[in-house]
Amino acid sequence: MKKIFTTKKLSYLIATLFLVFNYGCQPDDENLPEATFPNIADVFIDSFSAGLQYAAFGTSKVTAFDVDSDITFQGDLAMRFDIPNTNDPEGGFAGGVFTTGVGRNLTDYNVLTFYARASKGETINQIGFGLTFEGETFRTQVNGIQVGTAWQKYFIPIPNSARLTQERGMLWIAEAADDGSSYQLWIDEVKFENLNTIILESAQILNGADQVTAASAGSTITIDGTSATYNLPSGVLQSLTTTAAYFDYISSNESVATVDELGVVSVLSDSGSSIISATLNGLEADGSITFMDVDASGNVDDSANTEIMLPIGFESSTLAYNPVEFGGAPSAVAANPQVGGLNNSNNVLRTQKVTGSETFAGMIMDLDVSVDFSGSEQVTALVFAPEAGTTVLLGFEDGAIGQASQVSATATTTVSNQWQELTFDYTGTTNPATSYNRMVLIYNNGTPGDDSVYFMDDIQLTDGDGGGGGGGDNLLINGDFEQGMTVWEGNGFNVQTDGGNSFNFVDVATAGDPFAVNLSQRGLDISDGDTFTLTFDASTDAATGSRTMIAGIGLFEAPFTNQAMEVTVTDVTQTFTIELTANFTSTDSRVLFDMGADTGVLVIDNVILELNDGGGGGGGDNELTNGDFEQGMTVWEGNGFNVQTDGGNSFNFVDVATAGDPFAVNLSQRGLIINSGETFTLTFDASTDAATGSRTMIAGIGLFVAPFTNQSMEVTVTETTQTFTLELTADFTTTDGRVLFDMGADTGVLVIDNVSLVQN
Amino acid sequence: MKIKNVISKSIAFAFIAIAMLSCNDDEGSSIGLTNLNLVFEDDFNGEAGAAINSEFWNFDIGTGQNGWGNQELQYYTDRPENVSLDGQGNMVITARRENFQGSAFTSARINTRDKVEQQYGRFEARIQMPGGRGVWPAFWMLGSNIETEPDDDPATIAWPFVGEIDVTEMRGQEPFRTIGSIHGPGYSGGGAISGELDLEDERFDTEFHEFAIEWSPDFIDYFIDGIRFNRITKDDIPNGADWVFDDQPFFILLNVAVGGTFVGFPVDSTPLPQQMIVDYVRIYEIAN
Repeated sequence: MKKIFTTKKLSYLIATLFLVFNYGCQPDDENLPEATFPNIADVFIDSFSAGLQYAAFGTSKVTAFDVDSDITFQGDLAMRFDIPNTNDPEGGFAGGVFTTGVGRNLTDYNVLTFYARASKGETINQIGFGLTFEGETFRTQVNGIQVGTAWQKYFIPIPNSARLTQERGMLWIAEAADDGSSYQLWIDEVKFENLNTIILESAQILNGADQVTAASAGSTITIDGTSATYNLPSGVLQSLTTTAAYFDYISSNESVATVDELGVVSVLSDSGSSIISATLNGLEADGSITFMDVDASGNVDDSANTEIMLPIGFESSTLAYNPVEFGGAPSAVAANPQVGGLNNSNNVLRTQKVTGSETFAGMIMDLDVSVDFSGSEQVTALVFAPEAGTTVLLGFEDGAIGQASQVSATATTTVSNQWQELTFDYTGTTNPATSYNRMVLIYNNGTPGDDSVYFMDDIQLTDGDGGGGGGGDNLLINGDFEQGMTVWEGNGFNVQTDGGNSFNFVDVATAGDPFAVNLSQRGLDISDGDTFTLTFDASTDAATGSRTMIAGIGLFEAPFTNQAMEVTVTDVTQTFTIELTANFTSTDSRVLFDMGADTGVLVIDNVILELNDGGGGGGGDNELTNGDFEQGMTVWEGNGFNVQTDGGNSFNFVDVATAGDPFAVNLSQRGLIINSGETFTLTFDASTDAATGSRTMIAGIGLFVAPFTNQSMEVTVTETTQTFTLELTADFTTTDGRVLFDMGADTGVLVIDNVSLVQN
Repeated sequence: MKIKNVISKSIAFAFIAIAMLSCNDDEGSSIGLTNLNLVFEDDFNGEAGAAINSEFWNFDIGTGQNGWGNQELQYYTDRPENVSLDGQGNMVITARRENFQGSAFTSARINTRDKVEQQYGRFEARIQMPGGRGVWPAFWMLGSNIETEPDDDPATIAWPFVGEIDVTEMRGQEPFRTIGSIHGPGYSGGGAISGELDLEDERFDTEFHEFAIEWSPDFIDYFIDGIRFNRITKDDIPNGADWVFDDQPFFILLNVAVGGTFVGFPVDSTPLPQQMIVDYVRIYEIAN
């Protein structure tokens, strides 16, 4: 019964040593009759199941495994691991693989279950299935399960059992004692089951990150960072590490990139864009990778400029770019550390945050021309940082005023030592009256320097044309057709360029079905009930005069469900804005233009599809409860919390007798989740009485506890009720923030009502 | 807790299971009261995010005394984040992990006190339950003259003397099990008279089920999806104890508690937020 095989020396970190054999994924090109594999569920019940073998990891204590007839969950035998002392000269851990010689068909099952107990409470390092010494295409593992001294059932879900048509890896385990001293671990009743009580809650590729990278023809990238989270029958979540081969992949543009069954992406073209996303058992996985068009001419060339202004590419040999460091972050124009990919230009801005620097060390650089945010309040820049997760703070201010005039935004890198485009969003924070003639740049604000070197290039406002986006991101690629014949498709896809502007051009000779002449962009993730704003410019020529077309969103495949409208275009270019609510769900939805029902020229340009935020028009939800005090003495607090009711309306009323510290008379509502950098609109009505005439108070948001950091303003109230609207940008992060009214600095009556806090 | 009766069955094979049961009172059958008149119904129709109908429902707000008597951890609110219509004909109570008013969780509890009350009849609701370790949903009833604040008013009666009927409550770590209980003097809290029903290879937090009781003088029948799984009668309560279910009308409560002595406490891996999705609540009277 006891079967122990020692094998070639293997590392504890198995993944690094195994070659992946694509068995099970190779085409059956000799037309052999399809082999059938047994669908045996039992792995170890009272003995090794048919064909099961055990082989220990070479560096483990290879004698650690045995079977036990004394301690079993039920039946005659259980598996027992004598986990060694971690300093055991024969091996400091126990572990190995249970495999079958012939693969099993596990497509009828969705989970591997077993019972376990231990001689003391322990954390099992790694346990899973799908690992053999010949391959690990479908390896799974759960890390850190807790085993106690009583038998308990455990679950290792099969992420996508359709894949396991001939799996040989039934169970594997690697375990070292938590505290270094030996103990015994029993495992029994190991079998595959099909349970309805295991719920897939979420899945991830690329650790859930949405990566953007340069498309480089001929390169391959393997999808990693794959995992899934399950709701177990015990009502708790459990994370499962999987291989990429369990997922189904979608390329939004297979002419640019394709993905095979193992999650290996092959980049086919430098031009064009493609988004790679994935599903697991039909559930859309978090994370994606977008391959962007690589075009040298796409980099900012400011070499002919006579003034320093956005866009800045650091390419001029005559302009005096003058980065000035503060706090220990020397900065200068330097050579591009990695020419190619997203950045083919020669010169970039180099910043080194030196060891021992201030946490806020960075640089400022004056501009000859102020940034004009009137067309766009978003700036993009290319960043090259040594680590993913580097935060990049980019701000603009009036150099004559300084920080008080500053708008700033932070973006975070998701790749290391690679150019990446980051977007800095100043929406709603810029002031048209301010001259933004100075740029401020801080890497990893809040962290002391460690001599790391960072690079930035191609600082530019996002394309504001296309009219009045004002928030939201365009879900479309090449919506302005400037990238030429890419991403869009359909027999009506025909990009022409005139006077430096590219657009889509069709001339319909014969009227027919609307869809007979069509233009689409697919690969859009649209869910039933989502609302979108579709914006585009369209016109016809003078000869046509006017004609109709259909524009909307819909399914790319049958039944072609869609939400679309007919519009009439004339020989004057109009911007059409259509609000659409999806009545379908698909990750391969499309924007569609059906143009075949009418004859004549049709020019389409600057297509933007934006997902509308839930709040909509009226603007955001009030973060506060009982903001109108109609619920009486609830939720608010402070010695200045005193609700009175008059004529059916309730409000907060104080009458301060003696002036003192502002906070000596205070009213707060706490429990607010506020993150640094978030902007809020605080609105409230306030007044005093005729006897007081006028008085001041302080209103704002802040921490409820020391150091009581806050963003607040003094306002003057009169006997006429005024509505005050304060725009506040948090400079603190808390889950117990508050709205505050400090009323103690001035005497007299103060009535406050209808308090609303809305995150912008 | 005294378990009067435990029945394990698969809904799909209900009739096969029935054949193997050896229960009293036709348990496992759909036989119940036949002379019923619908007297109250809330289908929770309305726009997504809209408030529930205040003609029928009251909100309990806050943390009560000692976590509503059970060391529960949530702060009950009337915010739409915690209780609102979903626009698809359901009312949703959502338990969230968020700091609020000094509590680590928020949720909602609603009741029909002084608005919709009824003695005897059928009380039913179609619900997709929440789950998750430490989450404790309930569809239950209390006697209408319950004393909510200690007072000397003889017209109000303290719990458990007032009586409590739990149509269903669930421990989120046992999402396969519904528990139906009654509480009264001498049989309250851990000593409540209960019956359980376990789903086989299914979970109450993945699909809707109809939970109901039929309350007659001297006994209460418990139903799941039209199948009766338990009857609690005067004979089931301790000798000498008072049967307090023939004295007054009761009102309905729906809530999702988080933590507490009955369910234990949530852990980091408890999936939150959790939703109790209620399709309808109906009350029938027994016709003469």
